[in-house]
Amino acid sequence: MANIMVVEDETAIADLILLNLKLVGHNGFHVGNGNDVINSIQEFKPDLIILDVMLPGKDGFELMKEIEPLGIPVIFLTAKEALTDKIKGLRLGADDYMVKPFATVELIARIDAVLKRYKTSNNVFVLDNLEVRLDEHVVLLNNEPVDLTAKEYSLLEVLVRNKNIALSREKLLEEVWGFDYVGDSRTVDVHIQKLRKKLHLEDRIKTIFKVGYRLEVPR
Amino acid sequence: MRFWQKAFLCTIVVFLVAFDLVTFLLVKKSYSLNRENIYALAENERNIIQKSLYERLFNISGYYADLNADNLKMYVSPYGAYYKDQKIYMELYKGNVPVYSNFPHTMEGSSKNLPENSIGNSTGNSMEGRPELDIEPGQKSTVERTVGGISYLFITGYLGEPFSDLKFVYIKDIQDLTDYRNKMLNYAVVISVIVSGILSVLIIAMLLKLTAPIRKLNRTAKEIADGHYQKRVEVKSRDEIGEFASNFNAMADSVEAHIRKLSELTEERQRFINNLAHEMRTPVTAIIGYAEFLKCANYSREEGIKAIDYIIHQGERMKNMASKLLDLSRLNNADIELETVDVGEIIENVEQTLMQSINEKKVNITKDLQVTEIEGDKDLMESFMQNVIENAVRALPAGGKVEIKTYDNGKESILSVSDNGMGMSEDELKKIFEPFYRVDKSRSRAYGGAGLGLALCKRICELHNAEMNITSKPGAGTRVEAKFQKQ
Repeated sequence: MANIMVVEDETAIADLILLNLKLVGHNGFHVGNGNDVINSIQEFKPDLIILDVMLPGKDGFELMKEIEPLGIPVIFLTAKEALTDKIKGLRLGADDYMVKPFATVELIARIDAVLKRYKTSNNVFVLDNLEVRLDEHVVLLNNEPVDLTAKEYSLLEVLVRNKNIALSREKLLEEVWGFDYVGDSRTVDVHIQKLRKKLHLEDRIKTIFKVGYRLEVPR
Repeated sequence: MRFWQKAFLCTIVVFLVAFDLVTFLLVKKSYSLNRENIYALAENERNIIQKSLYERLFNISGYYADLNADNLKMYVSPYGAYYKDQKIYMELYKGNVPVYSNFPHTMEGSSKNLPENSIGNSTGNSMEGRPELDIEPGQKSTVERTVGGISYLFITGYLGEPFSDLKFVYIKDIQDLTDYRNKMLNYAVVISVIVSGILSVLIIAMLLKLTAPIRKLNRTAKEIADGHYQKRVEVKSRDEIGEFASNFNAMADSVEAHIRKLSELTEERQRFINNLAHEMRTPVTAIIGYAEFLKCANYSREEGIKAIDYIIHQGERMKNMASKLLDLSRLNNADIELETVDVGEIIENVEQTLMQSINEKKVNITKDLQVTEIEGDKDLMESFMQNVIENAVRALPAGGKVEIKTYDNGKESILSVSDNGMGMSEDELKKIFEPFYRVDKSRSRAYGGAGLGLALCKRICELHNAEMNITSKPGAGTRVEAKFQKQ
């Protein structure tokens, strides 16, 4: 959906991010040295940059000053957890600041949030004969609008945004119903059943044993 | 009470006692000398007067059959009148009967109305209150006493034959002498007050000046106690206080050095812990991330293998770090036992261990071992060699050279490992011994390096009392040298 540049000197971490980006349909590429960043931006024209602070060559804060005028959204992803560093990063114009270690799901959510603000990503999700227009909150099946309740739509959106990643019932409950919802994880099961039926997603929304549900999309 | 106050009181008390004693003795001596003088003078005068009176009486004795009181008085009175101006008075007694007196005071007893009235009335009690008159015939008395608040000297004696019944009393006003003594004593008191006043000021000023360094020391000690360990005393005198101050400064120096060492150590520890936490974070993040990926993601087979590889690799990295940390901490409180170690054997062992990377890079290792035996701990020496050679191999491009040499410079056995690899800048060289510091982070991590190797090597050298030096030039290569003291 979007071109994302991952600036990170640890190959293990960079690969991890790239793998997860690929899962949800983003196109990622890795830059390991601060000095190569500006050239790579010109070459690949990323929609978003995930930027580490401590890098060989120019560091992340320095790079941020150069990236800021280009208008490309930046999410800092760093081990520097001091408040002053966070404030510095955000003041320099970053859209978000995440501290390592991070949860993949959270990183993806933040990426989505930033992309949504910039409306750079193509916010239409198409799977088989299903079309989900995320900006308009419209779901079309065989080009016919489908009636979904608010909760059902939210659930679908979370699954779409985290496609190919299994989400636990608790996570779904938290994302869709909110923290303070005093409900059973059965509620999730019921809504999943409804979604599967309404959208003919029986084969796509998989139940992952002992984990939760996953929207599987061909890659 | 402050020290200077005590010193002041002691000094001033000693001074006052000494001064007053000396003054008193001087005045006393001076008084007695004066008195002797005046006595002698008076004696002389009396002799002259008495002699003159005697001669006169003798000359006229032919005219009178009997010298009675009245005619005697007539002869004496001119002397009396003449000497009265000089504050010398006289009395004449015939037997115990007063004949003449011009003494201005009336005294106890007979001489009440002496000058004007008849003498006869008072014969009986003429001796009362007049101790000077109480003398045997032919004797003489010298008495000093105070009458009516004035000191007088009484010299009494009998005239010679044929007037041996006549008693002549010479009275001299010596009030001046007494006044002189009192004046002197008063003066001494005034002087001692003034002098002690001046002295007090001088002594206090002096004491304050002398004790100023002590107060300075005191202040500085207080400041140091409050945590300003860099404070020093500036006392330039060469006396005991100066000595004390310089010893005090020496003490402060050593305290400061200790404190600095301690705080450096603490800082180093803190930095170490911070670095450790940071170093742990990356592999932990990766392991958790990949595990999560394996749990939740709809991944392909290759992706799964990749994730598992990463988990294994990062796990190994942590294991490696943990074991090096363990080595390091074990070495921090260890004493080693020295034995004779075969350097050649160690190098061969290390080469075996590093065989894979040496072969991969086609590194050429040359050895020139002039010293084959070094006193040391075998395992530690091996660990040292392994770290150094490993670093050298990593810094090399394919086909690079590593040169291992041992030689003897007389005092030390020197072990050196040089490579012709990428080298380091000076900045990098400075930080090279810091735990977790890596010259090339990503490359080192790719090899699973923890950044602890050289810290470990340095510690090993310290335990062997060896000096470790690294010289390097970017692009030209690096040379690591360890100098082992010969036993």
